[in-house]
Amino acid sequence: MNATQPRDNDSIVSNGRRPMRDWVPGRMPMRDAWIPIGHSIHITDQITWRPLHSLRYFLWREQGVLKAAEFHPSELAQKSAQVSAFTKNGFYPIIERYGMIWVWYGNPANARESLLPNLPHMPLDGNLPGYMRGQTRLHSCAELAMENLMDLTHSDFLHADLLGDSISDEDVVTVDSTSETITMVRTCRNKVAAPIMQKAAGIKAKTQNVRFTIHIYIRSHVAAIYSKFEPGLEVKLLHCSTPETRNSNTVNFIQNTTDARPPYRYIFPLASYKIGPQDDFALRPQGPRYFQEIERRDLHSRFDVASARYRFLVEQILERQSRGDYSYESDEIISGDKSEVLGIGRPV
Amino acid sequence: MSIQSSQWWAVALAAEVTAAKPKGVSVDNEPIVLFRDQSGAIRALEDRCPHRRMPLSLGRVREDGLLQCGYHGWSFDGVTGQCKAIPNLLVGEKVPSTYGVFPYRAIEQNDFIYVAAGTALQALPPNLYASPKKIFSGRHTVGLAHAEFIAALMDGPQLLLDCAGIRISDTLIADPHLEDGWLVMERAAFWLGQTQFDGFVREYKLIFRLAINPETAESWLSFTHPDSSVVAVAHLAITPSTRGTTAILWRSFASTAAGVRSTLLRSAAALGRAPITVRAHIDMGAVARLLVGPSEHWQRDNREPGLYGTILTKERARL
Ligand code: FES
Repeated sequence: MNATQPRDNDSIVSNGRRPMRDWVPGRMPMRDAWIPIGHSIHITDQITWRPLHSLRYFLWREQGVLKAAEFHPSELAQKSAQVSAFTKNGFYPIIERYGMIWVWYGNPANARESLLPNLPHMPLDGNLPGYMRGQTRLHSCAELAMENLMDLTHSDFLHADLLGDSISDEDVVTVDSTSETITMVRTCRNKVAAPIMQKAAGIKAKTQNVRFTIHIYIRSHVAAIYSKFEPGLEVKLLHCSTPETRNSNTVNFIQNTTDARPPYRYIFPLASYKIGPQDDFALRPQGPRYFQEIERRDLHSRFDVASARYRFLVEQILERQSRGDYSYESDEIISGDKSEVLGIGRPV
Repeated sequence: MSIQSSQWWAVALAAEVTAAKPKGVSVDNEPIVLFRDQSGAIRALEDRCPHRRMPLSLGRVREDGLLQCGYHGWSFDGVTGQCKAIPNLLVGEKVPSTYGVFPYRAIEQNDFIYVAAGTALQALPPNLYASPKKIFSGRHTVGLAHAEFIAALMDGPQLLLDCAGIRISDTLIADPHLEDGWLVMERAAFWLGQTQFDGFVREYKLIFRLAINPETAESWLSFTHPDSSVVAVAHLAITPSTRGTTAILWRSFASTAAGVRSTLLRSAAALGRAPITVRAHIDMGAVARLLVGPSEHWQRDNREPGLYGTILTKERARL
């Protein structure tokens, strides 16, 4: 087995070193961000609602115009004195993009379209068939779910039946970040083809070259995932963890399999219904243990570079926000084109 | 009452811990994982992976006897708690020697698994009764805190125990006192259907004896005839668990006393009827109404038998 290569210049963590602060995931919501709260197709002229950081977001369309309110519309007038500062007259800022409904969590005066994550692997109008969309639930805070997404070594234990193990001739991982995003790229040469590739995508080759890129918008709990398999196909995944409470996040996902042949096109989106519960097997008992004060901090191996960097960046955002600074720093243009970052169209 | 004390705590029935799967238990809110290594030896570790806090009890025991976490596969030595392997490390790459979990000491005795945290440990209490081959055992978690369960056992054992053909009466026949380090008390008991009176004089045909380890509350319960021949015995390990509950592990057996009823009890045991069990469902209303009795003498914080019991203890010592 070939192991993931360490980066010599990574200063966040190395064997035995600890992140700079104790990690208490979900200790404070990160605010002033667009959060995808549900699939567009599910918001109609019927009033529905979703939880977000323990607030209620009532959602509906009024003559085609999207609305998001803190109270049921029948109560809005009566409760106008009780509306929170996260609304303008009881209404939250709302946008529809990439097939998702995005609501603003934070001061509505700061809501700007330029702070909406860019997802170049998804159609802007979200026009994809229903079978590519889905929803699962994870019983942990959204931060642990995002950390799990970047976790390189758990697949061999939790998802071996679908994804196989990580045997390859070469396996290189790089991690880059800005103050608001983290990008992990894993490139494998001659990786043993995953069972799902062989069974559902008709890949005859025993091995593939693979580049797996995950780009996370930290405040939004959104992961753009783009994988290129050679021989094979591109896998385009959008993972949106809606932070409902410290114990739960709902994952709305889109598997854009437009370019794939049947049956892979139909089967691969279903894999999330297997992977989600497998992850929940670890996340559900893991979550409460981060509420407990224990004297020892988590230990890390060099495979946890992305995870440690993510923890560090979340803490940096929270530290700024606890000082009342909710702005975005200039090193990141959230809505800038990320095609290059995801490596779309680039060979492995 | 804490796992950090110098006591051994019974945490599982020996049969519950196999090589096939680790088992998670709790002592006073401390999570502990039990497993058997490749030699069959019992091992106990802190049930919290130091990597991402996953319960190690959701993992597996490897062929080489290491306990492997189910999330990322870090593997731990059952004796030292040291992390011995992290998957995908390069050949020659070492796991830092400081990586590990807290190891507990673990032993197997009397069909129970005992764990302890300290090094200067008290000896395990001796067996008060020899066990025959046919033993019944079980475990229940009760919605009473540790001290409250013991108080209820002293004040109203009939509410907690199911005894085949025997009724424990309200009548105390020995107040709590210390005997060889055990807190001992006795009540009158009767065979069901048996008249309690000989003419107008009440006769105590059976004696229910309760011996409690003052530190851990591990207890031996017995029914004897007045001539000390033993009818039936139960051994209870009473361990504080989580959320104010108490875990009860119990074993019981019929003994060798003579007499028709004792023989019937042994026959019933041979056919599978346990002579004494801990009730799975306790009538909590009855527990709430239970008058404070001998537990009053047992000052809960220092586990002593109270002034009266102390006088009794001294008297006996003098005799
Ligand atoms: S949580 Fe146990 S190995 Fe990662």
